[in-house]
Amino acid sequence: MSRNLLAVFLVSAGLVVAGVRLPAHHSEAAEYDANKPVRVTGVVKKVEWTNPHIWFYVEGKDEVSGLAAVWGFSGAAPNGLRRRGITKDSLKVGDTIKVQGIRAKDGSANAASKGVTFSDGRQVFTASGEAPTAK
Amino acid sequence: MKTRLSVAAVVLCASLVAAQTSKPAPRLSNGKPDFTGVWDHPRVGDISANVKGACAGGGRGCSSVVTGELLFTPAGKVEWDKNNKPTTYDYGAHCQPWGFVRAYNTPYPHAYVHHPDRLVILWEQDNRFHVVPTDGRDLPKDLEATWMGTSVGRWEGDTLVVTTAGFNGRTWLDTAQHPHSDALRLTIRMARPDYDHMTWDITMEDPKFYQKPIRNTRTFVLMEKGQELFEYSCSENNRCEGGKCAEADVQKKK
Repeated sequence: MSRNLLAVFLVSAGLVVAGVRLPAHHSEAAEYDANKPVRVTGVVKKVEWTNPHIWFYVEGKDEVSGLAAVWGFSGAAPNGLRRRGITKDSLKVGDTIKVQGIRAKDGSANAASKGVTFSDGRQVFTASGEAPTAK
Repeated sequence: MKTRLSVAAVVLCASLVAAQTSKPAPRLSNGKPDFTGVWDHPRVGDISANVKGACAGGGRGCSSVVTGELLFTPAGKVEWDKNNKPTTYDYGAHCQPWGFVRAYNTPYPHAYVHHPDRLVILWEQDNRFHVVPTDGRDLPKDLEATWMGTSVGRWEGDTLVVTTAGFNGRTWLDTAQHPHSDALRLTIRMARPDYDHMTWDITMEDPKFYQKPIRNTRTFVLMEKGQELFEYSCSENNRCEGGKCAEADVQKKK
């Protein structure tokens, strides 16, 4: 990853940390609850590099709710991530990562991801750029 | 008047800056500007809010400037109140067409393939297309109601004026959920002042839902050579469709 690209990710992640609220992307506001933040650290079990959103699954415990599960996280569409320089090789099964996001309204162990931090400290902004962020 | 002057100033400044940094626009065989290319547009989540600087595909220099304010008719207010709730059903999340205006608002670029007798619009969102005949025909008198409407275009000098009508009223103007009715009529004035920029000036008239027309003046930026539209398949893995997330195989209890 180039330094410039990393800087873009860090700025984007910073927006998330700062709680900047961006317009919702289609039904994400209906599907996910911005009042229910999720923070999970664990090992990536599976990655689905698919439309309309990527999904990745992390086995770990949510710091907020205490629920230990295989958490499903949605991200932006592959198209949007590819233009940011994030490809299917950026996230691998077996990686240990920390993910922050907002939980699905149906109460399942699923969430819309907002940012990923790798074990070496790299931060990657995985959200679609329009999704609501945790309040 | 003040707003109109501001919009004119923005367009003029953009044209002057562009003129200093870019080649002339290419021409079609009939001498008119050729809009062919992959274009980055502003991400517009709300048609009543200005957007400056950022392009949906990662570039810079895109913008959307609003003229006027949204004033609902009683029928439009009823529809808006129905939409403006967090639990509202979003047809887009169920992979139905986003509609003409909203397709231009998305986080994904669009492209034009331009011939002397037609302009073909290719939206990356849902990989949808739309053909605008420019051969002098008028809009059909008896329009079929469709998701994306029916368009015709005519030239006024170097500006292509596209008129679109015949909507089914089932889409929104934006993700902020501004509604429109089947009476929506769009007039878009498209120009390519230089090689790298387009102006896209849209007036949205919907007398059933809005007391006055709404106007957005947008700037598109040509994407770098080699950039192309990508595949987009909405229904491939739409796991949380309708707000209920399907369980993945790795989440099933053993």
